[in-house]
Amino acid sequence: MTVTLRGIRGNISRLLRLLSLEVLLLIPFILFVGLFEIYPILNMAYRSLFDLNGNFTLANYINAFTKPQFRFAIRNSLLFATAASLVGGIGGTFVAALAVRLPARWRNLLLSLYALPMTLSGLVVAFAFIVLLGRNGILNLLVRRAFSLPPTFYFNLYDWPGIVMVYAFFQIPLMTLSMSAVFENLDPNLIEAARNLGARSWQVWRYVVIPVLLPGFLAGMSIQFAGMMGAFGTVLALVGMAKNLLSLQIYSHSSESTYNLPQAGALAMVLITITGTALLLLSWSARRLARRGA
Amino acid sequence: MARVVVEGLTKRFGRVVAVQDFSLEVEEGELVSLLGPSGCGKTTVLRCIAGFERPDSGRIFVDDWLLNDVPPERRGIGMVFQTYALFPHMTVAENIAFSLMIRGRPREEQEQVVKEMVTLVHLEGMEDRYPHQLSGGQRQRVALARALAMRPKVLLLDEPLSALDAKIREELRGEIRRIQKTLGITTLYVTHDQEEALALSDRVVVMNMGRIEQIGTPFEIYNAPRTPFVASFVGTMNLLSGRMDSENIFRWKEQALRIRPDPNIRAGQAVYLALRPERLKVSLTPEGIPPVHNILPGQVEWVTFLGPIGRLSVRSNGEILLVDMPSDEALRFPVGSSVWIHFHPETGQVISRER
Repeated sequence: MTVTLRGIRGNISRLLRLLSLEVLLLIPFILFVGLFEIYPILNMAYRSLFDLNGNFTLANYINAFTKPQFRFAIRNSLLFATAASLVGGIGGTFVAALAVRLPARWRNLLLSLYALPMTLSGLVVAFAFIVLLGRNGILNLLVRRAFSLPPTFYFNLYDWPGIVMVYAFFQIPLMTLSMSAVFENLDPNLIEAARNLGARSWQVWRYVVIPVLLPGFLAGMSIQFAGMMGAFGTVLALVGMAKNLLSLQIYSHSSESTYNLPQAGALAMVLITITGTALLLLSWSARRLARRGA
Repeated sequence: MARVVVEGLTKRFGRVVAVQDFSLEVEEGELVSLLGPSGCGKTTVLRCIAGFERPDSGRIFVDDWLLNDVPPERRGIGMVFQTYALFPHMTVAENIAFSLMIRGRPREEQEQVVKEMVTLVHLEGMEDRYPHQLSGGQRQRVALARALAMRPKVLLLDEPLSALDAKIREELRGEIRRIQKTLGITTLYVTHDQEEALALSDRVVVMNMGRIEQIGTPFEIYNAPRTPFVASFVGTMNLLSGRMDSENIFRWKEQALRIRPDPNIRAGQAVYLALRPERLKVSLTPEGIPPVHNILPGQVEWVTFLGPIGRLSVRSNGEILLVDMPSDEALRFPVGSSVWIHFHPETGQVISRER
């Protein structure tokens, strides 16, 4: 009897030692991730496997890949995310390349100005662009007046190029910040060494600069792509449901008249899978490149 | 192999004059060091020769070829950087073969050269490693091999050993000299380490504030410094500030010291007497000091143990003189004891204080 009691007491004290302060400090984080990330995803995955009457079915997933409205949504989301990340990625890389050439004082000023848009709400930015570039926005009015053009002439903010442009407002600064760190870490001696060894300008880029920058660029691109696959608030504010994106479909199936939570869940799982796969691929190739260049 | 000639090189950065009127001829197969404190312009000279900086005036030749307007990639001058500057995404072999790959040389030739270079710098078996898998010393060997692989006419080394540990530094220093001698390649070597410069150069150029202070063999630089800067920068030196009473009497405060006359120094001129600590002798008694020697009485203030040698700090005439000797001898002088420093009139070098 006493032996077992002592054994239990020993186990408890060992458990308490395990639950030392560091572990206790992790609990809020584990709870947070568990309650707001893991539980909802598991719950959603589970519910996506039933129809509205609670019968098990794979129909929601079959729908996601067969119904034209969903297939277009997936295609549009992929195209949009790719386009917006490329605009942001390339634009941000160029801005970063220019910024690192500036004297430190100007560079820091520029970079903090550039970080500003990222702190703004997507809704606010959408309305700002509507005021500037909506059908009767200030810039459209000014251009029409300046060139005496008919009211049918305007820059269409509400089509794909317009939406991509508004998102570029967030995406370019984001990429600029991550790429300027990458550029700053590029040892200028590498470029000089390459030239010294006989490389012409294009060869320096082809064989040295681009390969060295690529891991950082890919890491930046994954942030871009993940963000754009889930793009939602700004696009909703701009065009409502007039454009067919996966994020908008999920929204409409979880809150609008087309309410169908299991279907929304299945679409969300598709979105998570696509984004997750893309991120894995990008980080895998970035790590492969970085391992060589660490 | 080739001669390098630099004529009247001047380079400014904004209002700062980095290099002023620098002229130097480096003979075929010679290793010349540019020695000086950081910011003295030595690296700028190297970068002008490599083509990374444009001289504001002056001309640079390799043999009879004027380089001023030749872009760096066409100069055929190899360079090794302090930070190694190895391409991080390429293996050792790819780094070494870079100059041949750029020129589109056939694969067999590239492999042949890599093999040759890897043997030359003792990196056998490391061909497929990436730079981050190598130690600092190994990285610098790769950088050296990469620069030599393009068979440069001239080799430039910019503080190649500064980032390395003392032990590796000494080892690699010998390797660099061996390889340089083997290939007979004309070499310019930038360093702020006077010991390094003395140990591996045929000639040393001492620079300060963008100007040449002195050019000479390591022996001349050490034993016959011509400016106060060279005397104090290279090795340890006691500099006594005084005036010439006559052509062979140097007056240091109340003391008159006999010295070897110097044809360039007039009576009455303000000069330094430069005395190496290891050339001074110390006795506890004045007896037995050769009559021809100059004698300075003093008191031992401190004894420093430096391993093979011991260094006495002796206060004489209100100033501290350093005297070096084998450390077991140095430890025989108690702190506070009265001593007599003495030295032969041939010892020491008179340096003008007027510039």
